[in-house]
Amino acid sequence: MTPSHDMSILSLITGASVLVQAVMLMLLLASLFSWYYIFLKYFALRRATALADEFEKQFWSGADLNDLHQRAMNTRTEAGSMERIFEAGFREFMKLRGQPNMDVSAITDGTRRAMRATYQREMDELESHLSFLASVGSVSPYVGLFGTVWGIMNSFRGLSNVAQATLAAVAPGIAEALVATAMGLFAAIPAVVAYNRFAGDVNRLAIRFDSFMEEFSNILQRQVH
Amino acid sequence: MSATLDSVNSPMNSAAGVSVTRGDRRAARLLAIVMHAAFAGLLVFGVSWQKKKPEPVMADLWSNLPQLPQQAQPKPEVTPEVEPTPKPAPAPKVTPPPAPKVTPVPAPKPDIALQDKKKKAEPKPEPKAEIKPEPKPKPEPKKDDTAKREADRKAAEAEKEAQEKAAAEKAAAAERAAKAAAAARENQKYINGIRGKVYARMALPPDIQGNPEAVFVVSLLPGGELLNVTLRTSSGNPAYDAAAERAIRQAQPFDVPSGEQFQQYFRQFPMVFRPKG
Repeated sequence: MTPSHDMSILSLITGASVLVQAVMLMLLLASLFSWYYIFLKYFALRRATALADEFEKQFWSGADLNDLHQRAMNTRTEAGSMERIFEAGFREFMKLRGQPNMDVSAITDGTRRAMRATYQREMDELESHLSFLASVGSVSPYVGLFGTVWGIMNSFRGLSNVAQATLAAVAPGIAEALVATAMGLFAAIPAVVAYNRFAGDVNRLAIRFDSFMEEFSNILQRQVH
Repeated sequence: MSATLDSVNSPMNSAAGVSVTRGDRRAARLLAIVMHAAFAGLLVFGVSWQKKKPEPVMADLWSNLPQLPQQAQPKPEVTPEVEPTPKPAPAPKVTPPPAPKVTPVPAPKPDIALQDKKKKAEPKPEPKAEIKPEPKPKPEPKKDDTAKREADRKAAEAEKEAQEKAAAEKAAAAERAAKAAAAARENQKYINGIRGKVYARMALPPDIQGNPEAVFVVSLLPGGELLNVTLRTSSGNPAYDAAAERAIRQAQPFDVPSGEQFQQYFRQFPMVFRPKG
């Protein structure tokens, strides 16, 4: 019996059984994708917040609504969510006001519906992939645990064939199996942290959009008269 | 109808494109891969760096074991250089006992080789030397007037005897020294055997630093079985002391000489332990 096995991480991974290796590969992919989405979401939310700040500053600085609408139409591809909500609402407002015999409440409701639709679409875009992070955060520990249980099961089954039960006979198998749990946790922890952070960010943006919609509706209602 | 459809479609297209750009995707992919590579590198190198530390200690232990008895047995006289500590420990015991203990030897050991017979011859002069001082004082008080000749004769005899005795003593001393050296050599052989046996069963604790020294007093039974082990000087590392004591207990019975030599040297003797030999 060799006194010490080669216990480096690489040999632990290559020495694991096929199923445990498959679990590890799955977890590695999950970790890679979750980090990809973490960075992607981070950039997207940071930009969305910056654009919303910028648009709110312009909007409340007393600029002409027609000018703002014109600018929003021109820069539509790189406009922020709030700007797009404004654009949809204002366009609908102009259309409705051009039509004859519309009363005020009908115009306001129509405008609000148009803004609401754009708001839903934008929220969907902002919240995309967050559910993936949530799934990785909640499921990958279980997947890793499954790999570990399977690996430990195998190493104990191997122990039954040995006349003298020593710790050295099972320890490498258990160590290999535990790598799967470690990888599961490694994938899960950042995903959970990022999910909580991003969900909070999206929520704050949603509140900002909501209040902007209400205020903008009031402004438009005043313009009807 | 067509106008409303247009107005619905256009925001949808734009919404998909803005919040995530192509540059974002590329950067995110790159960052994710870089992060994983960095973490994997940290893990692999960190762990392997930690794992390599205990290995040299193990290697030292195994390589030392076979060398100990092999080196010691063919060259017993060189051993003081190889193992400075174990020798001084038994040596002091070797020198004082021989003189008084040589005399009782003959009784238990009639079958010992010629050397022992010579030994027996040597001690004889010693008792004579004790007798001699007697004759000198005797002549003075007893026979002052009657027999001066006798006294002279006795004095001459005494002188002769003294000379003989001195010569014999010199020879005896030389022989004794030679014998002691031979005995020490043979003892060393046994001691090395015992040491080899104990070291072979020694499981070093991994956290030893330097070369601490532990001294045990080992008491043996004539058959080589262990009677008792006591720690005389601790190495300062309790784990190491315990490992050494365990090794001594596991290694018994030892190969020991029989009879007188055992009684003299192996009944109870100190044993010095050092992790690195």
